[in-house]
Amino acid sequence: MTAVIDPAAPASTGDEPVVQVRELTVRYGGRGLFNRAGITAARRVSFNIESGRTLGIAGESGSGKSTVARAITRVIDSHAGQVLVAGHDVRALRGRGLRRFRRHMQMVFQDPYDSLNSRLTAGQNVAEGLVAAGGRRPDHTLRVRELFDRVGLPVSFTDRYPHQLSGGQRQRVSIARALAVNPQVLVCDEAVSALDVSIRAQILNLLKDLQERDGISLLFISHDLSTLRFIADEIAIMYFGQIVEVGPADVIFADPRHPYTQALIAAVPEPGARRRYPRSRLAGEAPSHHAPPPGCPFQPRCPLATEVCRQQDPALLPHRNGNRVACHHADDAVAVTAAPDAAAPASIEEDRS
Amino acid sequence: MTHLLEVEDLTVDFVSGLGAATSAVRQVTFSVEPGQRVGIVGESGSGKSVTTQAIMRLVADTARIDGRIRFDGQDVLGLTGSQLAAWRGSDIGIVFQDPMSSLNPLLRIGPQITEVLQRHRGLSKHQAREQAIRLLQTVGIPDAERRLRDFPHSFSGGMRQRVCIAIAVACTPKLLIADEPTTALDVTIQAQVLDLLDELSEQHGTAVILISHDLGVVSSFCDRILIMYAGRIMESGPTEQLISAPRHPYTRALLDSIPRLQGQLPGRLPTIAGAPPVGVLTEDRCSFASRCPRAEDRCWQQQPILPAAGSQPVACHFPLHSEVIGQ
Repeated sequence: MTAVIDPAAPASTGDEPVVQVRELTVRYGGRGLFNRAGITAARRVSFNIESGRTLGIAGESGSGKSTVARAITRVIDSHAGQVLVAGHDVRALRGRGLRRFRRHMQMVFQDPYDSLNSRLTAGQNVAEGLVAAGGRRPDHTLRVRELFDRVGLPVSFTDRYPHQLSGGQRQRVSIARALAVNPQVLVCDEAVSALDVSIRAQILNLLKDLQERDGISLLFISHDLSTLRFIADEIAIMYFGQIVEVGPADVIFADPRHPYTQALIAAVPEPGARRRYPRSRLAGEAPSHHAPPPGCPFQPRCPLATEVCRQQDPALLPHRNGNRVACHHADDAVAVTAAPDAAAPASIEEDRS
Repeated sequence: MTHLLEVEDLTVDFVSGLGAATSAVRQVTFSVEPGQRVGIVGESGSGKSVTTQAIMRLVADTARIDGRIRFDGQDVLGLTGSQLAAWRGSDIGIVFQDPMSSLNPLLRIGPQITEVLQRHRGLSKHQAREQAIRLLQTVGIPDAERRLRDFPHSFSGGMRQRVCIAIAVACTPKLLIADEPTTALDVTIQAQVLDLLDELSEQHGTAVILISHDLGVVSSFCDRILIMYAGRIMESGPTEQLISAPRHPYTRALLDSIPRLQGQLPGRLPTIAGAPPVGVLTEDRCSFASRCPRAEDRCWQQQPILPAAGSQPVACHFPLHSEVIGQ
C-alpha cells in the first residue's frame, strides 16, 4: 500500500532523528513602515524528533509554538539556525526541491472547516495531495479509497462535500490528505482543539494507530497539557519564543522544574478536582514582544525571581532528572502535585441491575 | 424555600420560513437557588447555550419558546420589552465566550461600564465613573482610572474578559450567566478568571450558571452539574457525586474520554462511537441509544424521562450504580 514516489530522495540513515532543529530563530516584521523593530517569535529553539516518536509542544498564545511548526515546514522563512528533516536542509530548499520535500512532512491544522476546500468533495480534497506530489492520476481513485479506509471513514464519503461532514469526519479527511504522500513526519497544530470531547478521543486514538502502524513521527502542538500527556513521548514547554523546559513526558508531569511548567500543570482543571483556592499560581500575563523584560522573560510573573533573573537570561541546561531547563532556580522550584483528588470514578462495566 | 430561577419544561424550536422546525432544547427542567453555582456541560449542539439564551430572552424571533421560566417569582416569558430591559443588567448579567465581540469596539470601555450604572442604578455621570473605577480595580485591572479611556482592542483577551465581567456584575445581579467564559483564554489566564468569578460570587452571594464543554472547569467551580445531550438534560447531580459516580452512560463515557494528568494512562482512550445528532431531535427513543454501549430494545422504543425528584436524577432506562442511589 505504500506508494513510494521518489526513490532518489536522500533517506535518513536509520538511527538519526528524523527532525533535527538547531538554534532556530524566527523574526516577524522589521521592514514595515510602522513596525521597524520587528519581533522575535521564536528564539534559538532546538529539538530532535526520533523516527516513530512524538514531540509535544505546549505553551500559551504567542509563545511561538505555531511559529516553530510553520518554520520547520517552510510555510514561513526562518531567520537563523538549522532545520534537518529526513536529511534535507529545510532552510536551504527552493522551488522544485521545496515542493518535493513536502512529501516528507505534512501538516494537520486546527480548523478542518477552513483547511479543506469547500468546493471540492472530500475525495478530491485528498486527491489534491496526490496531484501536488506528482504521480499518475489513474491511480488516485484507488489510493484515495485506501486512505479513507486508513483514517476510518467509509469509502462512500469520498463523494461528500466538507459541509456534509461532521467536525470529526472533516478532521479525518484532513489527516487522510496529509497522509496521501506517505510523510515521515506529521505536524499537528492544535489538531484536536476545535473538536468535541467525545470526538477528540477518537482522533487522538487514530493518530496513535497510524503512528504504530507506519512509524510516523509527530510534532503535536497543543495548549492542552492533558492531551499532550496522552499522545507525546517528549514535551517541550515554550514561553515567549523560547523552550523553557523539555524532557520525557512522564518526567515533565512528575517532576517539572521550571516554575512556568509547574504553573501550567497546576492551572489545568481536572474533573473531580474539588474547588481549589487559588487556581492560578501566576499573576499577570506573558510580556509584550515589543517590550521584552530584561533577563529571564518569565521573571516578571515568576514567584521565585531574584536579582540574577532580572539580569541574566538563563540558558537551557540539563537537569539531573533528565529534563533540560532554562531557569536559575531549577533546583529550588518545589515540585507541584496536581489536583490531589484521586478517587477515580468506577468503570463502565459496572452493574446495571 | 423559593428558588431564584425556575425553569420548567423549557422547549425551544427554531422555525424556518417554510415552517420546518429545528429543535434545540427539549423539556428542560431545573432550578437555581440564591447563591448556588450550577454548571451546564454538553458538546456543541447540545442546547446548553440556547437554554440560557432563552432564560434571558436573547434567542432570535424565529424561535418558539414553550414552558415556564420564573425568576424571583416573576414570569420571564411574560415580560414586556421595557420590563426586560430593566431586568437584564440589574438582576441578571451575562458573560459571553468572546470578549472582543461582546464589547463595542468603537467605544472606550469607560462609557460601556458607566452606561449600565447610570441606567440601572440611576447614578450621575460622575458617580458612575467613580464606581466604574472601583469595579475595574475589583476585577484586577491595574491603573483603572487611565484604562477607562482605552478602547477594547488595547486590552489583552484576559483583560477584556475581566472588563466584560465588570460590566456583568456592575449592578450586583442575583444571577450571573457565564457562557464558556474562559474557552478563548489560555490556561493560566483561565485560572485567573475562574478565581475572579469565585471571589465575586462569594462576596455578593451571586448565583452563577456556568456553561462549558469542559467538565474540568465546571467541576472545579460548581455545586451542581447538569449534563445535556441533544437538547435534553441527561443527568444532574451534586458535583462530587456526579463526577465520582455518574449514572448516565453518556456522563461516564465523557469522563472516560478525557486524558488525565495523573495515574496510569490507557494505550487508547475509551471513545464514544459516532457523533452527536444535529438538528432534528428524536421523540420516540433515547437520543443517545445509537452511541450507547448499554442500549437495549427498550432504548430504541421509548424516550427515557428525567425524574423530577432525587438528588441525582438520570434520563436512562438502564442507569449505572442504580443499586446505590436508586432505592
